[in-house]
Amino acid sequence: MIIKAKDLTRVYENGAQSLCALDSVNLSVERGEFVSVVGTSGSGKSTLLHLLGGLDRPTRGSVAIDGAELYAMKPDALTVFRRRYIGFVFQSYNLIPGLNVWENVTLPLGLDGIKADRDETESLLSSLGIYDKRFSMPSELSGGQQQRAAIARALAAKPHVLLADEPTGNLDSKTGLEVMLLLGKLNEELSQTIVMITHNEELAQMTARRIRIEDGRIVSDSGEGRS
Amino acid sequence: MSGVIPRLALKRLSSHRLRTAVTAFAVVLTSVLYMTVLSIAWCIADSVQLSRQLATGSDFHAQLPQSGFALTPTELLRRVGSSPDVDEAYILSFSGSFRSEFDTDAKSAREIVLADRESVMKHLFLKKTKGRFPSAPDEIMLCEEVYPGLSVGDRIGFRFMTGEAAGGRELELEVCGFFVSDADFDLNGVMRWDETLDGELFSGADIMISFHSSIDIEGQLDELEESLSQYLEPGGKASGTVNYAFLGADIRSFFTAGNIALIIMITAVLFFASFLLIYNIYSIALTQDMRTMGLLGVIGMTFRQMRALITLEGLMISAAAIPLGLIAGYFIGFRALTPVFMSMSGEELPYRFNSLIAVISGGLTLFTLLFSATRPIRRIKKLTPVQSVSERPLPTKRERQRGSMNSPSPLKLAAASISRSKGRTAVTALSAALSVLLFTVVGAISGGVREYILRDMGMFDFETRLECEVEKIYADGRRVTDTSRADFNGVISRQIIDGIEKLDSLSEIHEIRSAKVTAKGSSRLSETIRAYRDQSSYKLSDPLIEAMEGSISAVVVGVPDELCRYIKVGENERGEPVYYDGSELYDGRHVLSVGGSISQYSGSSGFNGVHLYDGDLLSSDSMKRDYEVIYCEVYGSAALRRLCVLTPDFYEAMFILPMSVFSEEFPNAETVTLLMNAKEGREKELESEVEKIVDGYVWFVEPKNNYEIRLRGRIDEMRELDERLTAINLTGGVLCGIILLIGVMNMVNSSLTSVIHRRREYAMLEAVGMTEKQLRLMIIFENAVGAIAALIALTLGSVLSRAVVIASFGIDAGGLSLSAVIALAVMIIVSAAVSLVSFYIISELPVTQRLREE
Repeated sequence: MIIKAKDLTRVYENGAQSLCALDSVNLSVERGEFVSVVGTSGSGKSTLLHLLGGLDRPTRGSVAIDGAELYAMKPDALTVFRRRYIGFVFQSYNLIPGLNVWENVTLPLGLDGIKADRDETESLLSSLGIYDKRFSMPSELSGGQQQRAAIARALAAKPHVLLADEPTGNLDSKTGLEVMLLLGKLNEELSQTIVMITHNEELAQMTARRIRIEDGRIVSDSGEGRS
Repeated sequence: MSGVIPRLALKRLSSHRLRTAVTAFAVVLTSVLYMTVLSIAWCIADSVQLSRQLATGSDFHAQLPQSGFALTPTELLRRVGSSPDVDEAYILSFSGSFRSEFDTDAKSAREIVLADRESVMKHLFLKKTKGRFPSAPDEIMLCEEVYPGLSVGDRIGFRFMTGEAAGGRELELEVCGFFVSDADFDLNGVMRWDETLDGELFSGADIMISFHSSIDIEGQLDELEESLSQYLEPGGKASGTVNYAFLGADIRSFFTAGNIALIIMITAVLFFASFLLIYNIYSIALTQDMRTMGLLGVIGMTFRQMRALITLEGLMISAAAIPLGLIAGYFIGFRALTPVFMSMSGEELPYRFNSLIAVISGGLTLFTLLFSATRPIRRIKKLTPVQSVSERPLPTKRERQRGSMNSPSPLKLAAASISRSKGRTAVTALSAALSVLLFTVVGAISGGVREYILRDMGMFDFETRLECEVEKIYADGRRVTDTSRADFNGVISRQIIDGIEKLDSLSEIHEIRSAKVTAKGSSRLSETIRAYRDQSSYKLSDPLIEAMEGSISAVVVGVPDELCRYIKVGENERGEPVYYDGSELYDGRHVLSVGGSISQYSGSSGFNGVHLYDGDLLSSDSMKRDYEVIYCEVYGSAALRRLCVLTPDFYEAMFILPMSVFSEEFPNAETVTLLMNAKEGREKELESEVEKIVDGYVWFVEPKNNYEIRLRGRIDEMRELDERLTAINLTGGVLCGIILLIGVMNMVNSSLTSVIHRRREYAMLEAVGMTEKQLRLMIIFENAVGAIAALIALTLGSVLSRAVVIASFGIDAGGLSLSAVIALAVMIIVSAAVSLVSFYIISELPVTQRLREE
């Protein structure tokens, strides 16, 4: 088991009001699984992903990745853990402006003091179909190309888990499908563990395991019995 | 720090060129500001120190007399020199002396220095020009300017006035060399100190001490004296004195609560102005980058790495901008403004650059820049990664609920937007207010100084006096003519007076006359001099001995009766002059005693207590009658200040009579000063005509004393005053101008960055029906904050400055400064221009496109 979330709860306080975005969620993901999380807007799926990736702090509960308790770590240690073991892909790509594709992709390694292997990076960019664009700035790329660059950056450090938040949300259906196929390929060929958030049922059908979340609770899980 | 951080920092700086350039410009401006203020402050301090050293004649930290110690001077020198705090120590002794062959008048006596080694000379500002330092006690090195006719090898007789021999002792010495002196201290010569001469020619040796540090010399000397206390004679006392020429000498007493408060205030204003600029520009830039920083956090950049990245970016900007700022600051602050400021006193003071000014300015600029980054860094630390990847706006302070159900007007919308960005608005408003406030303060100071000086300015357009020209030589080799040495020796001939009286441009003319008398002293004066003698280590000069014994040399000055009401007899608690307004002076039985001074052999300082007091009689064999003394607590020159700009040097004792009484007492007295006013608008004409009449008239000639007629007066004083005020206004104006530029930059930067970031918000307002006119109005309201703050600063600043000047000097110089009004106008114009540009930036893209912007 690579991801284990236990009693995961996140309550947002806003003055006297409070909103429970995630309510006592328990979830396990096996190594090499491709899991999609679906739900309506505001159902808590993004909150779940952020907590699984150590981007936010839960009000209650715990998350372990490969046995390491994320929220027992100090902030800097959690950041280092994240850059080594977790890759992120966002709907809005979130490439660093001012850096070209190559620099964006190799940045997490550089932050760890590791010099990126040139052959490996070239191979990664080639496999994602953006080798020709390696020196382009983010603003010079199409949406699909930017998302591929973001996936490349997420994979550069060979993470144990890839978390994708609506990776096709900003793309047209054709490009979205291409990105989806790419993720599937990564999962099949590299046994990359992927947890993907989407509101698109068709795309969710392409994954081996589908979790439905509503009002902060898991209401269905095609892989039930393991969680 | 891994290599990726420097590369990333460089990338970020180069990809945000405009932002980097604006920040760099702010850094340059801050460097210039610090450099200018520090240059002026440093040069004032340095110049004061150098001038004081030249006046006291040495740059030693302290001197410790051997008297009181049970050690020979050589033994004491060894003990002092072995102290860990002492850098250098020498034996030095002074002896009042005069050349027995020519100088029969003991008043011409000057010091001879006895030194144990040649290296002492540089500490006394003496430069060898010919020959060598004395090698034996019967040799002397002479001051070239005092003895121009002598050569090396000549023999010369000197009478030494200090030491044990009664009436001094004569010694024949061989001239072994010559020197020139840069100090404002007249020396006859330098002899070699010899222990055998101790007590015979001079009254004891001093150990001159230079410590390693100039700070707290008092404390260091106390410690040294304490360590030497075991060598004191029974009942002896160490009586070391500090050379207070060093600014750090009594540093402890300098740091009074008032001085500390003043330093803190000036530093705070400067730092605040610079901080506002850099903070506004740099922190806004970093805040704009908040999402990027959060994103870097998501992909694994630790907070420590982010802080290193921001610090490195700051250092990179500084590395390029600070040297530029320091170079600009050197030319603006040191080369251009410092000379102006240093000439403000009317005299060109020596000043020199010190690399420490640049180091401190650079350091302060860097500190300001890095300090400005601390708040954004704190915000970045608080930012969770999820906030930076969220589609929602970054969190700001929670807004309070408002119960208003009115539809918002452009003004209300502007107010709401201002209240949303309170910090930024506060910085812009403070910056604008500060620049206008400083202009107001400089204007008030300038106006106050002008009125203060005008209050005590001479009454006459022109006056003439025979004056001796004296040349001062500064350490840097410059020679400056000092024309202040005037005394009552110069007589203006009747021919000159008649010539001037005939001039058509002349409106009025008055004569001041004087007569010298030998007057009887008083028992009180004798007691005062005796007390002075008992506490002085020097022998009394002959005139002082005579005064003590009851005979004083005095000058009686005759002032026209109608001008006697301008004789200054004191000052009130506000420093305003108080003039004589009594009636006794005109009765032919009273005289004003306005003080006097007798110089000593020991140097430039004199004994200033040569007075007759209330109840004493001015009585002289050369006067027809005795006069009852009305004592005034001023010196002679100050008493006549309002009447005579060319104030005379102190005489031994000075008395004033109204001319009606004076003429009867001294019918043949000579005229020493003419006071003139020109007919209205004909001042220049009178000036040139009088100059023609007095041109070439020399009353008395000797090698160093050429008495020539000088023409000065209110016209010259006004000219000098205007020059000084120009210096104040120029220096203050440039500093305020830099701060104004900072205010303007803050306003422009805040407005434009805000507008660019809120284009979508404005588009939404337009989409829901806001017209262009309403939008324009709203932007004008938003940008009016700086101008409103400046207006408030001008109003409050003017009222407060006026009140402070009135309270301090009793002068109402008016509160409104023209430069401050101009600064306010600049703020208003900039505010309007920024509004127009902002509107252009907003309306440049169609609403639909702006609505799609993130």
